[in-house]
Amino acid sequence: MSSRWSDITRDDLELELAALGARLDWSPTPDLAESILATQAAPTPLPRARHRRHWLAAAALVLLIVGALLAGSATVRTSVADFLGIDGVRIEFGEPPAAPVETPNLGTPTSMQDFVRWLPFAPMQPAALDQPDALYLHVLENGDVLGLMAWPPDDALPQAAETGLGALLMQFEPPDDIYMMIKTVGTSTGSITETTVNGEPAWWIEVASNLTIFGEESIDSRSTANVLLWQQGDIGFRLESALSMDEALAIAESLEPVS
Amino acid sequence: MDDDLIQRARTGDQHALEQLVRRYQDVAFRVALVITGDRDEAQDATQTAFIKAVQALGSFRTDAPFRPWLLRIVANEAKNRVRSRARHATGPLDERIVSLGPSPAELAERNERHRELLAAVRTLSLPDQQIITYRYFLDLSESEIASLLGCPRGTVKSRLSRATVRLREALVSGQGGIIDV
Repeated sequence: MSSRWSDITRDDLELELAALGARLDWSPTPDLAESILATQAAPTPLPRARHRRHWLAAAALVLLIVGALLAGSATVRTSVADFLGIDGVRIEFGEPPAAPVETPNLGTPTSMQDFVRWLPFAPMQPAALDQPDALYLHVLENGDVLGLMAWPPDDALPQAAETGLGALLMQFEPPDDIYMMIKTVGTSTGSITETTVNGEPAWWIEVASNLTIFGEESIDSRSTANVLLWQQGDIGFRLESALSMDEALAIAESLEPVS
Repeated sequence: MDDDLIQRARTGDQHALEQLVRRYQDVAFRVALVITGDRDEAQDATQTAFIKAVQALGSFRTDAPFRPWLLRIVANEAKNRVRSRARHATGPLDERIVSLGPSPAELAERNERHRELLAAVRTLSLPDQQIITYRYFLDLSESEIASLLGCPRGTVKSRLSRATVRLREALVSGQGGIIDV
């Protein structure tokens, strides 16, 4: 198979795909007209439309940090106000969302097989931890899919009060034109520290914060524990836990492809 | 052409409504199939989407294209059905959904290329299969795909670009574009 395609250009590949598309036989379309017309005789009421709040037209995933940086931390505030170096990540300052919900909505529970199939990249997991206890797929408002791995609390993973979990690892493919945003408001204490994971820029967020995800069904807002945020290759990662920065870094640096 | 049918369908013209359904039921059903991977769910989603679209015709802007608006409704209905079940039934390009049409013997080389290409697309992740199918197999424009997915057109371009890169890698390696599970 490989030799036939080794020199193909992208333009030629697109032409081949279009030619293939023209030859495909699809499963036959059922005749829907009759059944649809029949319903017009006895129309059913439309379900109530979902209320969509568009926080930002382009934002699908928003991290909101409620609680300003330490008073007097002008240096840190300036450094994190820049574009962070993870594709699509930006820090801004703004108002928090509505009151957070108690129980985090992690998405749809899934198997490892579907976890691998639904994510548009090769997912990773930390070798420093056991197999995750649960896997979730969270569909964003624009149809992109986040993958989440959850570990229960144990001797090595203290329970994070915000999630009830020992660790929660989110992985995603940051698109070019929507972005993750960190907003800080208020005057509570905490810090955002720039660090590295395997030599790549990373941010340790240890401040009272809210996470808001604009999913297809709802806008979920909840309090978060400590967060390590970084990018490895083309994939973004977010590790949430009650661990220290060094402990979180050790986990982050142990990522390997899912086996 | 759509404007006239829509205007007439709004007034309760059943013939116009029937024409509108027949004009778009193929592409609508195939979009639903790509998302659900299941004929029954795709049929249910498509039918519900058409019913909702008909009921919402009064608020549809006739200066806007009808097909992307309809397909967005179809996609949402199909996604609702996928989310309501624990596991994805099958891939969007499963052999029960699409197959290669017949080819004359003198085009054996082309047939072999297409067979390999389809097999490689089937090894990609489900989102990659879906976006390649929308663009190249259902011939939807990037704007229509953006409307269907509810994302900016730039996002569609970048996702398509990545998907084709991964497809090429799958073709060259002959081992599939993503982890085999």
